[in-house]
Amino acid sequence: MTQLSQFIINGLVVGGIYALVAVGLSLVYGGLRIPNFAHGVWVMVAAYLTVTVIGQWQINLWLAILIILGIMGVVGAVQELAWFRIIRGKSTLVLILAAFALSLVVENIYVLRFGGKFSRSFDFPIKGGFTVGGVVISYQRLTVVLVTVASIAVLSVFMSRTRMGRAIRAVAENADAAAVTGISVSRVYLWVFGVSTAMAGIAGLLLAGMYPVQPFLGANEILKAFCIIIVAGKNNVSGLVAVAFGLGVAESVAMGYLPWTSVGEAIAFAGLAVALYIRPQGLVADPGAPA
Amino acid sequence: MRKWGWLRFAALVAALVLVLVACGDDDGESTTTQASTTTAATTTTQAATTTTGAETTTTAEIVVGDPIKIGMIMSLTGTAAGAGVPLANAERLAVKIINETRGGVLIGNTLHPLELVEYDDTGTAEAGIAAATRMIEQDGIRLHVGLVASSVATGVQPYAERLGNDFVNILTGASLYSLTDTPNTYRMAATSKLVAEREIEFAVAQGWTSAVGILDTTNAAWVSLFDDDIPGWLADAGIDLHSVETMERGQADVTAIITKVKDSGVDFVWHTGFPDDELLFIRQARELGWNVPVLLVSQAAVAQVGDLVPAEAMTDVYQASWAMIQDLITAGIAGAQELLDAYVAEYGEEPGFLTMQGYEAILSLAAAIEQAQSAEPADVLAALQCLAPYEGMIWPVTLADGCVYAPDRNALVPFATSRWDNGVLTFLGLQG
Repeated sequence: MTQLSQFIINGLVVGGIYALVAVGLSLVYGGLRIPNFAHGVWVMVAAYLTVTVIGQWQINLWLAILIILGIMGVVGAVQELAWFRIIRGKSTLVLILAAFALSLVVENIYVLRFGGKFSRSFDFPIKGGFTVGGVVISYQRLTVVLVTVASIAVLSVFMSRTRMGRAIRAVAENADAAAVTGISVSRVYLWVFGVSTAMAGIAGLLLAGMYPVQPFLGANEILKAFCIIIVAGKNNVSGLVAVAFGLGVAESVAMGYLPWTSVGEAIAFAGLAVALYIRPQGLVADPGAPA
Repeated sequence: MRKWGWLRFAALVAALVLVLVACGDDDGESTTTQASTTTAATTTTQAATTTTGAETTTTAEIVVGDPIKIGMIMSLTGTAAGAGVPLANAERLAVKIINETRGGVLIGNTLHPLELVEYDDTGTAEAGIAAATRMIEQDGIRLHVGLVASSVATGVQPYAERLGNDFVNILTGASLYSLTDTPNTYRMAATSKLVAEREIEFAVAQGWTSAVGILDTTNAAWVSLFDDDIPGWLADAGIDLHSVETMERGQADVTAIITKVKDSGVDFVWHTGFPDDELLFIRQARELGWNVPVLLVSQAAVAQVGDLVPAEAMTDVYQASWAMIQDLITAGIAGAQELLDAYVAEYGEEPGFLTMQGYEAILSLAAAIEQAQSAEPADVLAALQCLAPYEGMIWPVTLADGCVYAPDRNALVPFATSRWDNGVLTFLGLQG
């Protein structure tokens, strides 16, 4: 039982990362209907930034979170302004290809810059942990889960309680109608991409404290994020979070009890296939607008 | 594209550049994959003089000839790049040293600079085969020094077999024993079999009687050993193999594996992966409160301790594998410190765990060419069959009847044992 509990705790940490990536992606995919495959590459960029900000500049963790949020938010807005705005309104295929192209360009820039080998992670400033009933919980991993939950909670408040949040929901519902009411659709797009990329930034920051940073970081997470979104529904934040945490736990338990590590990695895609077979419209009904 | 569109694009590029610049120090590592590495070949002629007794005679002038191309298929990107990039750096440095100190290799009265032509196998057999095709079929290169991943080397081996005496293949990292069954393939590295034997000896000497094995499923050399030999060898040594846990190279989270075995009560964990994976395992094991002794097959790079794993986590970690350059310095081996200094000066970072392999492999090929007085593969292969110790050799390779490479075409490389405590590496001894 202790071992199973440990697998679950381990899985919640990984699931938290998945949740951050999936929720961020859902803003663009669900709200603007843009399947942004470049979202994962910003996780990688943020991870490298984090190694510099925390590892080299020795900035306090909480201040670093704000700095990373700010920088990645701006990067996200520039991404929309300089890349996706040009192809706004084009077909889904064009959007997918454009997103892939952007991710490949950025990824290979980092391969050229840093080489293909693993780079450093940074020494997480919160060390140690505690044991509950034989289950080890490190403060670092607990921080990951708490930051994940807090980030998503803040995002939910932003979406429901702020003027821009309501504008984003209006544009997601019907962009033309929103424009008629005086909402600047272009400005909303900027904000959506900015907030989405900021969420990727948080994921990258947390990953950099746990795993070695390399140019292909985030590639695995983006694929699983799409699986999570398809299963949970694009605009259902609570569903996304639940599925993401569930996936992390399922992977951890599978890797623990099955003799082949790679099976755990396939869980997301196997689960997607099963879920779509059972319920092609997704397991959770799509409310139709960001929550 | 309208002006406003160009401005947007420029803004995106500017944002990327700013982020890139902010992702600062890369320790000065060279990140571009060079098509070839060569020092500028200056056309110089010099009179060679010999002095015999009271007479001084001037022999033929030495002229500079065409570069001799050496192919290097290496994992410059991908999950094996952590081992491949430093190994490539070592080969590049060896070529540079030969070209700058001697002008190249001397065949007759012609000095041929060496030119290293690089190919990235990305750590996959498919890319390795493509690289071999390009190197051999398109670029016509018949002298090769490289390969770090056994899975890639296995893919390239059919080319070596097909070309026979028209190809020289010196392996620098791939440790799968059967690779040198091909008569034109030599290895300036330890085989996985030899490493396993030495590490089991070390474990016995430590008094350890039970182990968990961590196996990288993409490492062909060790997969075959664990399938066929290791359980029996451990049993013969009186060591109980509790289980063999599998992971994939580059796998970021191994907490599930650790959780599975941390209560097994074993005396040590035998990690047979690449250094990045080993350090990640140690980091996550210590985070989960498992302070079991860990025996590493691939030595941890000093530079990575503190980066990939906190120093305090590197305690009760052991290495009993081939001697690294740092081991040679501690053992007082001549030339090792100078090589380390040259490497650091060139690349701005500490060398990797396969540095000696890359350096000596290039030097041994250059020596074979000079011994054969020919760069033709068949002649070079004949020289390699019994290569005499050569100029610049640092690694104290045990000579087999006076030859650098043993009859099975493997160099008998030196081994070293060491121990990590609180991030500090203590050298324990060097063995031939």
